[in-house]
Amino acid sequence: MAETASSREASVAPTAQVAGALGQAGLRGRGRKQSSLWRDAWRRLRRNKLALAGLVVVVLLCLVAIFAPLLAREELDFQNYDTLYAPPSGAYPMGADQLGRDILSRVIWGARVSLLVGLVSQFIVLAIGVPIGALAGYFGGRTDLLLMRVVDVMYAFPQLLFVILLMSMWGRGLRNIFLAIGITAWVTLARLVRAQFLSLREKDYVIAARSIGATDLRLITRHMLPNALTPIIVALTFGIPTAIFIEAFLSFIGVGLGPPQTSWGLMVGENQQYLRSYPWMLIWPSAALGLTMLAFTFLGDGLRDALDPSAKRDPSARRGMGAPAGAGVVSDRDGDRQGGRMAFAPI
Amino acid sequence: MLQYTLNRLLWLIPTLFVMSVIVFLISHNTPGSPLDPSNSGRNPLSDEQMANLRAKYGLDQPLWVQYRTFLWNALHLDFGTSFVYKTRTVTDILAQTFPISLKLGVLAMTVAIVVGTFLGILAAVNQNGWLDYLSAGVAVLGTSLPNFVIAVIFILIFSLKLGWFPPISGNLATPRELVLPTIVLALFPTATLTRYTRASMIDVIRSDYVRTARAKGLAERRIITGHVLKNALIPVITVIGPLLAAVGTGSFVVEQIFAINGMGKFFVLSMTGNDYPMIMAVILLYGVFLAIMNLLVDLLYGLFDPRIRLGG
Repeated sequence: MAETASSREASVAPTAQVAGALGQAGLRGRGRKQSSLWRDAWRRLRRNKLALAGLVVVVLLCLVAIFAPLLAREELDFQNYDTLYAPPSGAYPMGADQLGRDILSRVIWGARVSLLVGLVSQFIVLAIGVPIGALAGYFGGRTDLLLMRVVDVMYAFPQLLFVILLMSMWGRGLRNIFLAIGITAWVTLARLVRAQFLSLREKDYVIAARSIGATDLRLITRHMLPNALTPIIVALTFGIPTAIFIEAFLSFIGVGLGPPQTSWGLMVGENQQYLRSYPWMLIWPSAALGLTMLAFTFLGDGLRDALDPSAKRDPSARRGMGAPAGAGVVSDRDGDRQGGRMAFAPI
Repeated sequence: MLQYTLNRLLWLIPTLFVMSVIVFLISHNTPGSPLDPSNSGRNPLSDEQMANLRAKYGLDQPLWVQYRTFLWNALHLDFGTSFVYKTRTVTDILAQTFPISLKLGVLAMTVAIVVGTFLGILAAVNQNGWLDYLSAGVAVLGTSLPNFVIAVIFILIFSLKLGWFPPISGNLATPRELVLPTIVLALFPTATLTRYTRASMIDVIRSDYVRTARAKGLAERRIITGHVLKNALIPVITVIGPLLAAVGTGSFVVEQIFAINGMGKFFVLSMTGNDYPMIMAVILLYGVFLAIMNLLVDLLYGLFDPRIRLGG
């Protein structure tokens, strides 16, 4: 814990110092400083070519997802029996599947599913993880003990297994995927936020604000949360590809999305048996998924370095952050685990 | 150390208990019982016959009695008869499929530990050299590409284009059948271990005592092998626990795509067939296995690093 906290402190320090120096009366100043924090981060992000490439891909992906109805030439379930198993050609740039459906169109519709899963599930994670982590870290004592027991129990259960169980209980469908991922993934964020709050609680400006009579709610929302914001943003950025991966995994093994809807994972799962004869049915959705995951990973890495420059210099901070992202379900947890380890043993 | 060990051991009990309750409750609330009269694929049996069947499988008992029976039997490794393969017990199926999964998992994990730590060490020693970039590449690809994407690419290139390995691995009987699934399954843990080892090595290389060792003129080689390695590799142990989980769930996908007759493939089949006994058995077995492995990892960590057990 100590290790994580100290490296974190360095990153929070600039904002914290300013806020402290201005006193809590100077809240106007905080807004100005914050915008400069973002400008600094943007400047650093721009220098990172991989992160920028990731950003471009993510933006393109968002555009494709938003304008899918205009871009996709065919409806999701449009079947054409003249083009069964058609190889890629001028008319069908990515070929057609066993029902003659245009694969390009389906890949475009799939982008929608992946992004929705990534964003909505992270929103749920945010809504559960931040309040629980904040309460545990802020109040400490019995509240902390109780909440962290819940977290520990959740944590002992491998997330993917939990998600699979939930999906088998609720049945296939997009809404259930959001919920299943959200309900199982908040644990990591809650731990992160708790660790942040534990160290912020002792900061001079928080003590000062408390001494002039700020309420708990005000302390949490106005003074502490803004200073815990950057690690939360980074964690959520890495949560998106993790969620996308989980959806693809679920759909692949047949408990995620069901036909007639489609997603990249489902396209690969459904068409496994065609890998030998009609490989284009699997190549394109695989490529789309791989590209998306890589883009989010690069963007997340860049964002972490940009928002939290101390993490880059100090590899231990990186470990504490738990950020080796990506197929992240587990890697996400590694980091968390590492963080947990530190909490368990103050070094 | 004794207190630390006891402490960790005691934690195992509530963990396993909660795990079994969660698994039991969830799989019981799963819709679509094979005996549900309102189910679209219901048995073409009379209500009396269904009631008989329900009694036979103990599904008419109150929930806590069912749980008690389930727990008691589970402790004796008796998970009942599969709902889907009605002539075989779950234990039977698992006894046949688990060794295949275990073989694949152990092999993949071994490859990952050897290659991952080695790459990580090389990367840290040659910081910002080409080896560092190579390992960074492996780490990024391995952690961010889903394993079925990698599997698809590998099968296309190595079995269909080049014809080096069979695209279907079946029972993993020959070494050639083992190669592709092992690599695909090992890629994620390898990548993660590379990342952690590198970060941990760099952490230690920058510490004061290493600077002291340099200052007194030790050769770089001696510093790395004699001073850095031991301290840097200890924290890496902690990653192995979660990685085992990754290999386990990863094998669901890998077994499916390479058509391997392991536990993972059966598990996926049982999900769609509402095969409660099978689902509960696999998840519990897996949960227990992971909890015990995590415990071992914790104890190992405490053994190697006195700061942990004294601090905890």
